[in-house]
Amino acid sequence: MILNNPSPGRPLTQTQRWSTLFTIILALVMLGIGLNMRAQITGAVAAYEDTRIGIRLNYPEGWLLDTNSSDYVFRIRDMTRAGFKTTIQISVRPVSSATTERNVADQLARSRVLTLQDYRVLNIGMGTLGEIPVEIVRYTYNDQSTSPFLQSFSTVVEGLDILTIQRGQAIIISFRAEADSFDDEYPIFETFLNDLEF
Amino acid sequence: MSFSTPPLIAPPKEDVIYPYRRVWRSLIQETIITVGICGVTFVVYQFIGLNLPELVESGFVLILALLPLILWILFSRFAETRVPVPRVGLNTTLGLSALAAAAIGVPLVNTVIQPSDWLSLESAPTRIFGYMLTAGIVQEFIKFMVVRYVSGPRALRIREDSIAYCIASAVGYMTVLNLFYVFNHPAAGPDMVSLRVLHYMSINVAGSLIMSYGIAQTWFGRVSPLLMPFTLLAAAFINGLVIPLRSGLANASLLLSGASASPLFSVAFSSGIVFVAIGLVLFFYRVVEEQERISRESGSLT
Repeated sequence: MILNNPSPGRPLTQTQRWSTLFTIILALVMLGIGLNMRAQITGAVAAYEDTRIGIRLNYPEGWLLDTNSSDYVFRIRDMTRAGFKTTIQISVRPVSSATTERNVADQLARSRVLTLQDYRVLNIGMGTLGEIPVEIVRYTYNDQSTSPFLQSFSTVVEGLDILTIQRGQAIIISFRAEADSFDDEYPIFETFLNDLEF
Repeated sequence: MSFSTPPLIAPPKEDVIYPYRRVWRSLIQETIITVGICGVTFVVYQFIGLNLPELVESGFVLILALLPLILWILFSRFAETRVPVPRVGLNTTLGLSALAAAAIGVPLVNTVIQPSDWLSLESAPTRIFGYMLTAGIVQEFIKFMVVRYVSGPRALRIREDSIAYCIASAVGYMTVLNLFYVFNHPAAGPDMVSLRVLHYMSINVAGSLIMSYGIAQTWFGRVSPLLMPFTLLAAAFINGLVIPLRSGLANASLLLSGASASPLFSVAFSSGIVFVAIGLVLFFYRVVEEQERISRESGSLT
């Protein structure tokens, strides 16, 4: 049975016009909901508070939290990344009253040369975190611990330390990511710093 | 004197020549051949371990990526030239869909929205709706716009025209997806490419068939203006449903007992989706055509 279009080439009927319009509107609304859903998922944060150390912060919800180490009091890693896992870490070290931020930075550099392969400090500068003066250290090293079971090339990691001395202890906030994606990942660290209270 | 009654013979029935290409036949032929070639390729490479020279394998991978397009040209486009009333604008529909996919659809989904980056750790319902509201809606909306504004109302003479143009659009879109996959994954062998070709064919053919039903009913039936948006929603939902389910089957999931992947189930799943979609939409088309025939014979259709 052949059912010819009753109006080929003629103006569209009201139903066809409204139907087309509704379809376009629906598609745009759905895409908008999808983008909103993306913003909610990627921007979702979890709260963390440690009264012993005196820090309160928000971190990306999907990142892996680890506070059970002697090297740091707080660490989160983006486990969805292939290769080196982007890391934000907070360490606290007791210091004497005469110790400055620069002393801590130098001490860190000396110890890391022994533990991190091809560790190099790129630059050391001053800055502020909120209203607190901080020392900012940029560095790079080669990471080979991607997977002990795989034969793989080492990863060039870029890191940034923010050092400050508060209440007789040095607080070291570190951000590390693959050098290729460091700039792309940096906004996450900025958001983290904006919410950080200590 | 004898008298013989003249034989009561019914007058010979005039052969009615169907003037258009039969779309369902072409579609089913193309689908069966695609599923067959991809399935055999997958089994041969996965379970028998065929090794071809690299150059031959690269050519074979490219042919696999272009397989839906080649079959469409053989079974649909050439067939149009052999019927009294061929459909016009099929090449334009396919070409523009491919261009829109390459220029808008694929970059928007893969580079801007990147659903796989933020949906991979979410729960199953979130992943389904996430893919539906991003990759699914972008893909189906682009194909709809091409069919609606390129083939346009003048090209739609019978219900099957809607299927012909929607499938042409789907073939253009899936060809671009296949080529993107092949060129972005040069290490992918024929088995992985055949899996991907089947996957893209299943979501594109299923989505476009559902969309074609909405367009056909809006043009030829007396339906609510909400039917076409609803079919767009359904087509996007099929995309959202199939993408994470197929990924779950094709990729290894980490369990306590070890990592396990079921790529063979992925082949069966993609094939099943496309055949179920063809069967369901064909059923709906037959139902509305039958209803119209009954209405016409009873005189209620003016």
